[in-house]
Amino acid sequence: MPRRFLLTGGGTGGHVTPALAAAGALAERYPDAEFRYAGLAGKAEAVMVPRAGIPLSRVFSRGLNGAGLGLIAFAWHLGWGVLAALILLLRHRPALILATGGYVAAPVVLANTLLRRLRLTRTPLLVHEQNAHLGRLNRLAARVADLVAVTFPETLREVPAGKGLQVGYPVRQSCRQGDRDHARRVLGIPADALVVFAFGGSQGARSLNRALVAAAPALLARPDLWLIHGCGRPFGKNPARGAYHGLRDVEARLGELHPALLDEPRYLRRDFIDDMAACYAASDLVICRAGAGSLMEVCAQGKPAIVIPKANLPGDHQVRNARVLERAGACRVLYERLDPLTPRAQEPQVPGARLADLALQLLADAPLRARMAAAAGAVVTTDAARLLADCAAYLLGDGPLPTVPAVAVPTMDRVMGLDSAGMENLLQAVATEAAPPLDAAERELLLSKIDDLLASGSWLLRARGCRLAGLAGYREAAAVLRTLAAEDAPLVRRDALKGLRGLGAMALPPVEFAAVLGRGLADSYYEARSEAALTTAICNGKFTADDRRRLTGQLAGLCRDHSFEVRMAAVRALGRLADAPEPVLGALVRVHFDPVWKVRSELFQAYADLTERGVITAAVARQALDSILITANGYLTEYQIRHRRNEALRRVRRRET
Amino acid sequence: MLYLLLRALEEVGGPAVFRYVTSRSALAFITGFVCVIIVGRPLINWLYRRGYRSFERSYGDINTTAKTGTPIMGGLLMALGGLGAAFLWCDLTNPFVWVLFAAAVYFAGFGLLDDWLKIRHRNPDRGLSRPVKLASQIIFGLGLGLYLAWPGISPFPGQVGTQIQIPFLKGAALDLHFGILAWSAFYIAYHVNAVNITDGMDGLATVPAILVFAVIAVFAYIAGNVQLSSHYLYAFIPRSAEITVFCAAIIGAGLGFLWYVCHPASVFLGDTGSLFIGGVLGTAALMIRQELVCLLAGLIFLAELLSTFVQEQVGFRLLKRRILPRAPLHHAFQHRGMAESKIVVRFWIVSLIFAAFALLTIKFR
Repeated sequence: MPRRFLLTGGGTGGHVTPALAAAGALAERYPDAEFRYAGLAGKAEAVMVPRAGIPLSRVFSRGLNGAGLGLIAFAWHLGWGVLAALILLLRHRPALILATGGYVAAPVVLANTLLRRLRLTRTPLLVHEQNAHLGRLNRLAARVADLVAVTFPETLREVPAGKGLQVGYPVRQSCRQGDRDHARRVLGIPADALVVFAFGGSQGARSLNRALVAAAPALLARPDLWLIHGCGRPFGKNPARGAYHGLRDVEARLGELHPALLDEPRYLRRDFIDDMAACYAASDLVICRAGAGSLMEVCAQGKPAIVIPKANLPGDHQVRNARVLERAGACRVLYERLDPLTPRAQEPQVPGARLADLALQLLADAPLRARMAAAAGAVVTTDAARLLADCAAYLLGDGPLPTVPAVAVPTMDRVMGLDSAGMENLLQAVATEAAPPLDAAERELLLSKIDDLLASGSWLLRARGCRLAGLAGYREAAAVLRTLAAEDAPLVRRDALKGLRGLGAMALPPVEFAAVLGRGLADSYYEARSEAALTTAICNGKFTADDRRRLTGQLAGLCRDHSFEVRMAAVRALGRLADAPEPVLGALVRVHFDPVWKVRSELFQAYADLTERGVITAAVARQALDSILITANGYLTEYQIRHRRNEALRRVRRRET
Repeated sequence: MLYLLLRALEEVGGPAVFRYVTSRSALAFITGFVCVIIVGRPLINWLYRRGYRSFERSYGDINTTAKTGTPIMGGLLMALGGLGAAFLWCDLTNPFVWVLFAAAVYFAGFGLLDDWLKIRHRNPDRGLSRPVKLASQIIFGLGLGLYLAWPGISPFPGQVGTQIQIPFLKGAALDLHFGILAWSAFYIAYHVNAVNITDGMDGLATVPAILVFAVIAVFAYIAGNVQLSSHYLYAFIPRSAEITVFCAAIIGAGLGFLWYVCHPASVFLGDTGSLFIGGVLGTAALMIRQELVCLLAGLIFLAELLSTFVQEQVGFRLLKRRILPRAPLHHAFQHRGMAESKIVVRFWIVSLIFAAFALLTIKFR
């Protein structure tokens, strides 16, 4: 009786390739093996699987995005999918299931789990994860799987203990290293030229294409440099309307920006690259996206790379892939980001100048490229497909578990996969020294995410972006914060002013800062007024005399604000800012009997500040302090027992470490 | 249960004093209080040992992290004491008592589940989800509405079951017919959520709830008494006086709970307590057909719920700004720097005034 294997997973080509590679290795090991692929019609697997000579059985599934109607459609498709998968499993009785992730695999994984719970089958489940982060379906599948094979050791952390095994990524045979000189002859490139090969996947990537167009003049200014650019074209014969056509976009932008380059012979543009191997072989530097497939291909070629991960994917998995390789020394990462200064321009970009700089820097440094190439080669497991087949054999009882050298599992950047609230928590922990400070790579990623937030269409995220910019000390965002401080949404205005405070007195030129704060102090929203007043307090000594007088006057007026928070902030700011007793003393006297004690408590600080700064005499201050009402209906509660407990815990913990 | 026993003894010459609602109410009150006081300390210790402790978070200037580790599920204490006393002194053959018992068990159960999930996930956001909670309240409310409106099953005479009494207007009532289902669902959900939101400080929800129960007890006593109801011009609802005994038991247990929860608290109500109190409160008000009066008596709850609604829906969602300094209301005062004990006592004072207003409706019509 032949061994039957059921493969599943897909949606995109990245999930299908490893399944097919594993099928090849399994066919070598079990010559009588029969394969069947469970996938969706109209997705990548519908094209790739029949081409590989494997029959495709249709199931139904759907990605889960959003709630409401999406949820109902999701449940409906998945329900039918599980039913189809149940029939498929019962009819074909596979000996093993290999699931490579993507929502396409959901019906088979669920149906198999159900059958196993009912003890109708014992078919083992082998899962392969391509990315450095478990996908949503694989996260579930890992719980019911017998073995989870992963590409990067970083992912082992997310796999249930004892189930994970690092086998690597089965790279296509056709993409192994080729002959450089031969490839260059074919492409018509001189042997001593420097070649940059850029591609954004078969369908093209807009931000990569545009960055390259912007960087092209600087790159091609170097006379020995050749550029191969796989621009991409829509998928299939009749692409959907509005689908991105890479080549057309690139040509149009070139015509607009640098028409001279349209006829440049050293700039080779293709819509689709048939011979990837030759392009790889000919190149000295690769610029690409960070999908697991393309990255591992580049590494298998032993090429240094500049990687532009696609932002805002589930779990930041492209960023993770890129960072794993960057840390291994195989590539450099550039983050694409939204530009907050051109509002609602919702296309993430990579500045062309940065791309050109980095590329030229790498091209000028041959030893560095050699080191990167060597590191890239070391990342790839050459026999990943065979290891995957060995795993299958182990689950079938036909062999031992393949042994892979144990590696220390590195931790990931803390910013990875965090949502905006998570980032705020992290930064607050850093600010209070509850967490160690961010390293340079973490900060780089964080700032790119803050840019995305600041450019977001949701006012809530913009407001959070402002706060994060302040917490992170993101000086370059000051101009954006200044613009947001004049927004429609009151809470964004408040947080923009708060962010500016976080950036410190030097965030903006003093005259500009004074203008922003002047507007803030006159804001119609009370929290914006109070933030503006607090921000004024930190800018002591930076303003011109004129600005200072105007702001002091505004603050003195705010001591009569109907909101106690504004009064508090104004009193505090006056202590720091005023350099003449009038009109300050008159304004402060009015809050000596303020109904809210928190306002009165600010007075003490303010009078002390004014005395220390020599604005008022000690005698005047003393008299004022005596006349402030000091009844209060608030006090601090301290639970002594908890205090003692924490003290003891601290002492015990010190002993532990 | 004791009630039935003593009534049986009465047949063979025992004292007749236990027949009366007044004497049984007093006994239920005392029993509830004593039960909670006795069970309190060991139960609190047990909750702490089991790890049923609160997690408190810091929201800027409203920092309650100092309270972290206080046992929650204290509502269990109140429910056990109150229901125990009610079980002893109520007439267990009375349909009003059945409904109240059902509400108590139903809501305390959901509250327990919610608290337990939060503790299991070690995350105060991972309890029952909002839609599930709301659905549980609406389902109960619909069931109760059906019970009120169903001719033959409803314990109310004539149209009383579907009528809403308008306070301050003599004899004015709005007959909703089967609209009572929607009203009842809304009313239950309102009370449960309002008490839940109010329960944010030591004893803040307990005392106003006790006062509303007291108002309900008075109205139940009047409506269940032939002479009093005709004297005060209320519809006579046979057997409804038993609600008084039940309320007295809950009030006793509530005071017992206050013994432990008054600032600084030894135990928190948790969702067990707030869902239990809110659910029983709403049910009792519906069963005595005085929803609007009870709304007036518990105006503190309305203020708390409304402040949250205004802040979240009108403020954050619509105007993209804060409307109140903080919400719910008690946090607004805390934000101004008022000490917790002061806020709590002031809320009690205000709720006492509202309770007085509610009682005023008996005569002022």
